[in-house]
Amino acid sequence: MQERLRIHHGIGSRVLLDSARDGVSYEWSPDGSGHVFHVHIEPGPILDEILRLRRELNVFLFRDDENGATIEKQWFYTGDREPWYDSDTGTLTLVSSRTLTYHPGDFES
Amino acid sequence: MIDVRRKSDRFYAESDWLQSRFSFSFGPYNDPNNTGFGPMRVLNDDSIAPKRGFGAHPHSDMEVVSIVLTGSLRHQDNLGNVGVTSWGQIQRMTAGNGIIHTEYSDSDSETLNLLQMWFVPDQAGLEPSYEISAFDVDALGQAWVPVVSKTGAAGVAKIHQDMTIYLTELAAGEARDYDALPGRRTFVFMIHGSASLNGEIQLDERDEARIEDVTDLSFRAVQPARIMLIDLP
Repeated sequence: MQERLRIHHGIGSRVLLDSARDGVSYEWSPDGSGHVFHVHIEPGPILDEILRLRRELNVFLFRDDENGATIEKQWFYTGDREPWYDSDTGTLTLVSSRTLTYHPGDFES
Repeated sequence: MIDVRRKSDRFYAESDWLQSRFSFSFGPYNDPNNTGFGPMRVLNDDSIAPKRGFGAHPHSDMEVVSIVLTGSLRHQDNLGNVGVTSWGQIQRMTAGNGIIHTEYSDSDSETLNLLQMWFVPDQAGLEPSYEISAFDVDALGQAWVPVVSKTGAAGVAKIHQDMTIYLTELAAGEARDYDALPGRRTFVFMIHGSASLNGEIQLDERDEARIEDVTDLSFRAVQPARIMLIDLP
């Protein structure tokens, strides 16, 4: 199973970053009762747009099967703390206090 | 100031199951100069083919109000809510700190036409919730009927923002006034028919007006009209 980080605009779901598509590396780990993401990204239009829309982001981990089909999505709430960028380390940090996991076809009975 | 936006001015998007007009920036429509009106962030006029719709997706920190005009809307979410909404009802969802839901046309044959609006709540991180309320359709011909408000009431959905959504209906030639409070915004959407506004502007079907610093509003129907008016901070 492959995992990738996706950051969407929360208003209409425009994809701002796809770690696989954009060649961006990241780490994520538990942080207190939530999670923290460190995204290694160079300054540029992708970063600019994420920071411009930082209060309206949907942050996901997509998990894909060997054929590339997404079989699970994990969504992270980042509304408690705005993302920030450290230009010295080239790291975008996102902090999440809540996560929900779901699958294609959920809630369609 | 009365800023009129015609139906034809709005961004149009379509797929094999969805036709939509966006009043504000949404998805592929990205205009930094048109991202909202006060706390109002989204108004999408969606037509959805029978049994089609939006699969599971998240929302957060947004008050989502749906008014179904034709057909019926089926909602399910991760809180266990299942609801079907049609004309005469309001669906209000508080996304708060996160909700996952689906939205589908519930009809086998009828196109679902709904107005979906998103408003920034007055507080972030709210507990997610979902509500269907029913308003008195027959009363629309008599007054501005509140269907969504901050306080809520019988027949009025409760929203976490200092705002009120009204609906009304006018017969041809009939007039109805609205007195806005100073300092408030007023958003007007002509759902059906046409009417003049203050005797100087004609709003036709699916036209909208974003009004600031004008408190005395007078509508007179040119054709039988159904109007949505939103009082906003």
